[in-house]
Amino acid sequence: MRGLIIKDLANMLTQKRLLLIIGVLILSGLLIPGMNADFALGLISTISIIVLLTLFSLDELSNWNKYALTMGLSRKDLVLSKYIIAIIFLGVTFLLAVILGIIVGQRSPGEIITVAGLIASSTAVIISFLLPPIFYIGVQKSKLFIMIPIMIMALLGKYIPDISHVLAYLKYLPLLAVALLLISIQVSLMLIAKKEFN
Amino acid sequence: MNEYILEIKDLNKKYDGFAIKDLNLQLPYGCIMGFIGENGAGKSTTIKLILNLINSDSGEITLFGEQNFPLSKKLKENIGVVLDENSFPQDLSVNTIHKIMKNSFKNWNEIKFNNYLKRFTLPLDKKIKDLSRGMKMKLSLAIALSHQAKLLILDEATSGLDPIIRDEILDLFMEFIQDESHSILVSSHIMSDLEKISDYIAFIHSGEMVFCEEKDKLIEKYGLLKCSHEEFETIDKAYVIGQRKHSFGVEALIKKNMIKGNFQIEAAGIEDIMLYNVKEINS
Repeated sequence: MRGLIIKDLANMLTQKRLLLIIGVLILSGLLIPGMNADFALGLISTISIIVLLTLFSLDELSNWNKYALTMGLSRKDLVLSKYIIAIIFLGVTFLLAVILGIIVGQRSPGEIITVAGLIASSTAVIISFLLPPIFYIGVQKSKLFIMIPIMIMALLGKYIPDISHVLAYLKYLPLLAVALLLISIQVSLMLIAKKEFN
Repeated sequence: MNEYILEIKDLNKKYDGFAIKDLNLQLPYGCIMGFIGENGAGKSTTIKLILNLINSDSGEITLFGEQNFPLSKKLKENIGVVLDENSFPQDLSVNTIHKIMKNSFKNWNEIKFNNYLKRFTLPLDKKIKDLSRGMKMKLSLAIALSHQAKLLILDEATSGLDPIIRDEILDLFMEFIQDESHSILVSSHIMSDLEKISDYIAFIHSGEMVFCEEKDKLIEKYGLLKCSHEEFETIDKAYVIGQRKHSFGVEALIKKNMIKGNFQIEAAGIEDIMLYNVKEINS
């Protein structure tokens, strides 16, 4: 499995253009007048997901998974290695959000940690919904699944009259994210077991 | 030890418009088996079934005497695979691929791999996308041969390569097979290659095994008859596998020991045997 993680990290480093765009976008949130730090914080989550999707796309382009399964690797290794990469990304998302919060300096340390935690948790929720279909039907066909958590949030906003009630429960978002990630891993393992690698 | 390194019994797999039907195959230790058949005959599907990349509907596949479902990591370590397509991430260098493999195979032999790289003049710093098809294939082979595999499975590994590279690869196969506990299953369209190296030929057509026999026995059994139309009429058609008639005579694949009389019978190549069998089945 270590080999798979090395492959993903090496693949990520080859995406220099993507990494450059990420840097520019984050800086633009901080430096361009009219933009603000919250814009940059929001971007971090989106960018983590884009980079993760790019790694899946690269595997798909080279038909890597089929070949990997002929090596000393199992289907479980394929799934777990990607979740490990996703968790690394979540950690980086959290750290970047903290660093940005410190640079901007508008919030107290407690608020910075809370905001960073919420950003990483919401990213984890989206990833949890996104990864199982990707393992089963591939990244191209799975992009629509990103809409599921967004739609859930939109529906909550529309049908719950007093949104402040929901906001009070935001502190439980990290717990929900961990639970969803664990469920997501199980579903992915179940789906990949049935998948045919043609 | 089981008699066969690979054994397939009554294998079935159904798709829309195509099926592998009651496929049987036995590959003994210390042998090279050429796996032949036209495009879409089921060679790649069979290989995917052996490697458990797809699931069979029924039947049994055993590798080293163990069932392939699920194909354990231990079994995978014993199998070197070269697929018809290059599956390495295109932007990574040969060196990074080496690191990935080193961390993926328990029995990875770094010295062996580096020796193959030198032998194939594969540059470590070159990206996969900058390698020619021949170089990529050599890299795949170097990997397949560097983790102490005992069985090599190659799907169209030599197609599209020039004769010099193909010859180098065939030499490698011959070296690999010097160890009697090793075997190779190689699917290819290049019959001349298979004729050079194979001990057994397995011929699949429309998902069904037409024959799986020793190459020497096949060549001994079949002959290519060349005669006039009148002479052909005197021959017992029960021993004619397939025929091609033209204005100046007939060419036919026959069971040569069964034909009596003074006829011009040439040795039949694997390609002739395959072509005439397909002609006969299709007609």
